[in-house]
Formats: sequence, C-alpha cells, structure tokens
Amino acid sequence: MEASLQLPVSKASHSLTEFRHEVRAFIQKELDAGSFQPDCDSWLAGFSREWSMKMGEKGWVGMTFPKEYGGQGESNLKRYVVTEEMLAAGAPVAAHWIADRQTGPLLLKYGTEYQKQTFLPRICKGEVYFSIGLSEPNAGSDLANIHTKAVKESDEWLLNGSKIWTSGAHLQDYMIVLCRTEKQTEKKHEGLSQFIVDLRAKGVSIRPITLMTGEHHFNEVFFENVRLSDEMIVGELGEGWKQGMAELAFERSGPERFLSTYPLLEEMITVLKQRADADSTYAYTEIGKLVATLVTLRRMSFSIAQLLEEDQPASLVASLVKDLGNQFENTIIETARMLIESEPSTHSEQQYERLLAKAMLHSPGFTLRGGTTEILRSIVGKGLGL
Amino acid sequence: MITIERMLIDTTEKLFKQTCTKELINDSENGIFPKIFWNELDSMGITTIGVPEDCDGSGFTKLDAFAVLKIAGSFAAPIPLAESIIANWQYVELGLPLPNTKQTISMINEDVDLQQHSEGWIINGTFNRVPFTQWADELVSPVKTTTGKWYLLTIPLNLTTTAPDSNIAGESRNKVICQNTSINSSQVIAMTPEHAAQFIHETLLGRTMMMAGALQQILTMSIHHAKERQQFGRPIGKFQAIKQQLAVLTGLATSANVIADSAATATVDNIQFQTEVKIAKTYISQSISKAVPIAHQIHAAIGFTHEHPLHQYTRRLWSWRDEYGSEAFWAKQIGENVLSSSKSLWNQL
Ligand SMILES: Cc1cc2nc3c(=O)[nH]c(=O)nc-3n(C[C@H](O)[C@H](O)[C@H](O)COP(=O)(O)OP(=O)(O)OC[C@H]3O[C@@H](n4cnc5c(N)ncnc54)[C@H](O)[C@@H]3O)c2cc1C
Repeated sequence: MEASLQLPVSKASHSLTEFRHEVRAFIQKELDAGSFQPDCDSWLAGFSREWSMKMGEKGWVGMTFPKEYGGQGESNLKRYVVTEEMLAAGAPVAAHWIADRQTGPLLLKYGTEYQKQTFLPRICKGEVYFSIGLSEPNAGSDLANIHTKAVKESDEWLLNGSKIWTSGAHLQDYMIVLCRTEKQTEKKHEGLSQFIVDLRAKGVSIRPITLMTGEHHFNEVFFENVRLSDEMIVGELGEGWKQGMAELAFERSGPERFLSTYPLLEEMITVLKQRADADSTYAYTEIGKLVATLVTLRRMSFSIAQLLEEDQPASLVASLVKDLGNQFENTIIETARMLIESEPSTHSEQQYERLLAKAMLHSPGFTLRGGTTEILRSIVGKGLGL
Repeated sequence: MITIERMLIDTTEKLFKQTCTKELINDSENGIFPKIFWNELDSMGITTIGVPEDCDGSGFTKLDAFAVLKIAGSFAAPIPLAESIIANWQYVELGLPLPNTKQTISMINEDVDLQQHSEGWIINGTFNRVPFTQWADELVSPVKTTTGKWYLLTIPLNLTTTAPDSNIAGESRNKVICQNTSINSSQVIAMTPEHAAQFIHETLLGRTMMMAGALQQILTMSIHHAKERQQFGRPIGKFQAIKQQLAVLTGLATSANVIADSAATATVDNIQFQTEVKIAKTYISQSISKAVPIAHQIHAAIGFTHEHPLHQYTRRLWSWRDEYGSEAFWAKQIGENVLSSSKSLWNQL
C-alpha cells in the first residue's frame, strides 16, 4: 500500500477515556438542565454564543493553543474527544467552530505576535468568531480563480470584491479573506494572500442568502475600499494559497465529516427500542451495518488526529475520511426512512421526525462544503499518482 | 396527425409553464392559494378529466388524467389537483353528481368510527396528513367500519377541527379531527372493497406520476446547469465525474417515467393495475435517494439556496416518496406476495 495511505492504529489512553467521561458528564448535565436541544448539523447551524462561552470557560475552545495565548496546550487527541462528544450530542457549537478548528491553528502557525495576542485568547474564551472567506461567484471548486483584491495605497491596503456562501458571516466577527495582492497571471495560485478582516469595518456589507430550508445561514459579503493595515496580513504576502491548503487536513478529517446526522441515528435507535413491531432481522442488520461503518470512521479519523499531532502529512487520508463520512451521513437518513415509516416534518411533535427532516434538508451541503466529493476524489486520484 | 389527447397535454403544459411560476410556488408555501391558476385549470376542465362528458366531466380517460398529473409534478404545482380529479372520479363511479365544491382526499385514516342514527351518521376519528385542507370544502375518504363494510365519506371540513402540519416541501398536510361530527345520509355512500382498493391505488398512482414529472424536471435542470456553469475554464458538464453523474440521473428519470406510464396505462386495460402501481411507487420512491443527491451535487451551492428553484422539486420528491407509503412499505407487500405464492417468481410476473 502507498505509504501515504498507511494509518497508524491509535488507541485512546486511559486518561483520554477518563477525559471523555468528563465531557460526557458535562453534556449530560446541560441536557438535563435543558440548555440545548440535540440537533443534526449542529456544527454548521447551531449558533449559540452562550454555549460557546460555556465551553470556553471549561477550556474546551482552542484547547490545543499554548497557555500563553489562553489555550490549554492540550493534544489534538483531546480536542478530538471534545468535538466528537459535542457532535454526537448535537450541541450548538457552530459559533466558535471555524475559529477553533482552523483560524486559531492558522494564526499559531503563520500569525504575527500581535495577531496571536489579539485574537487567540478571545477565541479560547469562546467569544470571538471567524468565518471562511474563500468562495466567490466564479470561484467555487476553481478556488484559485478568485478576483477579490487588496491593493496597497501608501501605508494601507484597500480591499475590493466579494465573497459568497459565507457561513455565519452575519453572526461572526472576523473573516479570513483569501484575495489577490498581485495581478492574476497564468499561475493562478500565485499572488494570493490572506487577510484578517473585521466584518463590522467600514466598507463591509453583508447580504443574506436564504437556504432552501428557509434558514439564514449563507451570506454574500461585499468589500468596498475596506482599509486594512499591514498588521492584518496573515503570514507571507503571496503565500495565501499554500497557507490555506495547510488547513485542509484539519478541515477534512474531523468527526464533523461523519457525525452531522448522528443525533438522528441515536433517536432512531431509541424509537426502535420502543417498538414491539420492529421488523427485527432487517432492523438488526441495518443498524449493525451503520455501527460497523461508524466505528471504522471513528478509528480512521482518530488516527489522523494522531498524525496531525505528530505534524505528519495527512491530506490524502483526510479526503478519504470526508468522502466516506459524507456517504455515511446520508446512509443514516436512508436507513431511518427504511426502518421507521414516517413523513419527515420540521415542526412535527415527534423529535424523530424533526431530526429526519433537518438531516434531509441539510444533506445537500454535506458533499459540497469543504470541497465537493468530485474534487476530493480527484485529489485522491492525484495522490495515487494517476 | 395531432390527436386530441396530444392537444390536451400541450395546452396543459403551456398553461403550467406560463402560470405555475417560482413565485407562485413560494407564495403557496406562505399560505396563499393560487386562485387564478386554479380557476383557469377548472375552467379548462382539467379538474374533471377522466369524467365522461355526459356526467358533466371533460371526457378523456384516466390515462390522460395521469399524464396531466405528471405535468403538474414537473412544474411542482402546489395545488390539490390530483385530489380533486380523484374525488370527482369517485362521485361519478358511485352514481353521484359532480359537486361544485372543492375536495381533498385521504387514504390514511386510523380508527375512524362511524355510527348510523335516524337522520344520518356520526363520525369520530382522525384523518392524518390530508393535503391542502385549507383550500378545500370537503374531505372525501373511503372508510372501513368495524363490521368490515366500506363507505365513501364526504365530510364538510367546517365541521371538523384541523391541526396544521406540512411536508418538507411546505405543502400542507393537515390532521383532520372529527369529534362527534354529524353528517347526513347522502354524504355516506356504501362502496365495494374493490372500489375502495381502486381509490387507494389511484391516489398512490397520482403521487407516483407527480414524482416521475418532478424527476424529469430535475434532470432537465441539471443538464442545463452542467452546460452553463463554468469552472476551470469550461462547462462543468465537460468533466468526466459530472458526465457520469448525469448519465446515472438520466437512467433514473427515464426508467421512472417508463414504469409510471406503464402503471397509468393499466388504468385503461386494467390488467394487474394494483400490482403495477405498487411497483411503480416502490421503484420511483427508491430512486429518489439516488437522483436527488445527484441533482444537488451538480448544482452545488447555488442549488442549496432558496432563490434557485431546484429545491421546489427536490423537497417535493423527498416528501412524495414517503407519502401514501414509502418504498419500504410497498416493497414489503410486494415481497410478501411473491414469497407467499406457490408459483415461481417468473410465473408470477
Ligand atoms: C453548507 C455550505 C457551507 C459553505 N460555507 C462556506 C464558507 O463558509 N466559506 C466559503 O468560502 N465557502 C463556503 N461554501 C462554498 C463551498 O466551498 C462551495 O460550494 C464548493 O467549493 C463548490 O463550489 P460551487 O458551489 O461553486 O460549485 P461548482 O464549483 O460550480 O461545482 C459544481 C459541480 O461541478 C463539480 N466540479 C467542478 N469542478 C470539477 C472538476 N474539475 N472535476 C469534476 N467535477 C467538478 C463539482 O464537484 C460540483 O458537483 C459552503 C458551501 C456549503 C454547501
């Protein structure tokens, strides 16, 4: 097998398991107190400042960041446990998700001391949120085709252009914007830079794009002569593409790539247990297949967390986790339909039907966000030397 | 030569194209009844297709009516058209005059209790997920009594309470509750079990035709998008991955249309109508879980927005596949029938 496909078998240590129990107990206490309703796709749609700050107090946001920047200096594996437990419970973690997952690590790796001091402690408190400013109307899969540009004028940069499909920009504070700082040439990936942009700055306007579900999640964000100082450049000018690509392994291998519909699976099992007429052989088989896939994906994702902990390359296997994980998320929906006859409805009295409706309505996004399935598969193909 | 049936299809299609707009569909989700559209269909006689002209219908056959319902599905028409047409058929077949009120129908009713008394009947019970009750005057439904007799009930909706609900396409699917609802004798008509079964299967086929139409539409939209949307300097339809997906979607939509048309044809020569309908509903419902993801994948982010009309079809397909029994429900019946027969499978087909 290709060396890049060789994944180490990583088992959780005793202390990690104990930590997991601690997180689980915390979530249970909150559930009992009614602080949240378990929901599908909660890392994208469950925005709760209160919840994020609560997690911040526990030290569970930015927990891998060094202590000097407000973090806990903990391992990726511990972070893995927190994210997995939150997603399995369907907790509203969307507010801080991007900051915790990618902005923080990006700034730690490439940011200036000023940037680290300014943003990281507040990220860790769960009170400052970031969005991803990549896609543009004509730059989706072909991301390098972006046209938003920053031009230097005396000692400031002027940012002009727009970003589209920006999750949560209307609720978040800052955006990491990928833009052109040099004229586009044949080599589209060159001359791109990353800036930190305050979403409330003068010249930034945010237009909602309603989802097919009727929810406001996406936005189109316009920049009109937005003034940026040199201090807002992340890393090196012109290195934006490379820096952005480095985030991808984190972005694609996490448990959010296979647990978006997990609350539905849990609820399905609750309902099946209560039903005397459950067609047992069929139900057992189907649930068994889901469990086998789930456990495999968890092992795989956990192994990648281990690789990332050791600073080893993992982008190829991360793509595999996302692809397999997205398929699993959809299989849960289809299995639910087969096992429990119902008609999904977003305002049903039954939690099961509500979760099913939410999962179904959000499902088109699973295989698009963070790189479409087609793009992931072509990355895998390239990785195999095809 | 252009047949009269062809003309019916062409004019209907034209009307839907002009009138059943994205805005009209969105408005209907906000509770606005598309009155002008409905009146136009009514005045064209579309609501009484399959009812003979000497019974005040517009003639044609049930086959033609099902072809019209496929068009309705291919435009995501948010109106109780299938419900009205099928209710009208029941009236005529039971020898009753066509009503000039608006009907919706139900084939899902749990434990409805019917009691006869000197002046009429008392109904107690619930009808679940009844389409568009707020836009209808009466609910028409076959009901089986505890003694095993079938009746076709016409229940004035103003005598009932409704609990609002909707499917994930935002089409109302309300709960109709009858609590000591008193209706007169002319609103309770005895029917044979065969007739009740016919009603149920026609209702099922109505949804099936609409699914076939909507599938055809998402294929058309996906092909269009694949030709229009450019990435990496060329239309995305030029990428092998997209070509492969489109080929699969084409297979799904085409086969769905074949089995839907075949089931509709069985209304005319009546060979194995009920089996054919169950097969069509099962086949098409199960193909939705492959077809819808492909259409969304090809459209990507733009197709995930409310602005783009794709969701008006995909949300309907997700809903309709489970209405009146999902593929799990009907496949189980088909399977049970096959396994309980002493004949080989081949001899049962
Ligand atoms: C829920 C959700 C949240 C998102 N959040 C954000 C966000 O916060 N910030 C942000 O910047 N973006 C965000 N996006 C945008 C996302 O990154 C894009 O949707 C994605 O990159 C695809 O771009 P596109 O939608 O323009 O599709 P297109 O690139 O137009 O693709 C259309 C279809 O063509 C296929 N295709 C394209 N090129 C090729 C090729 N070379 N070979 C084979 N197939 C190809 C695609 O796979 C897809 O099926 C989000 C998207 C979703 C759905």
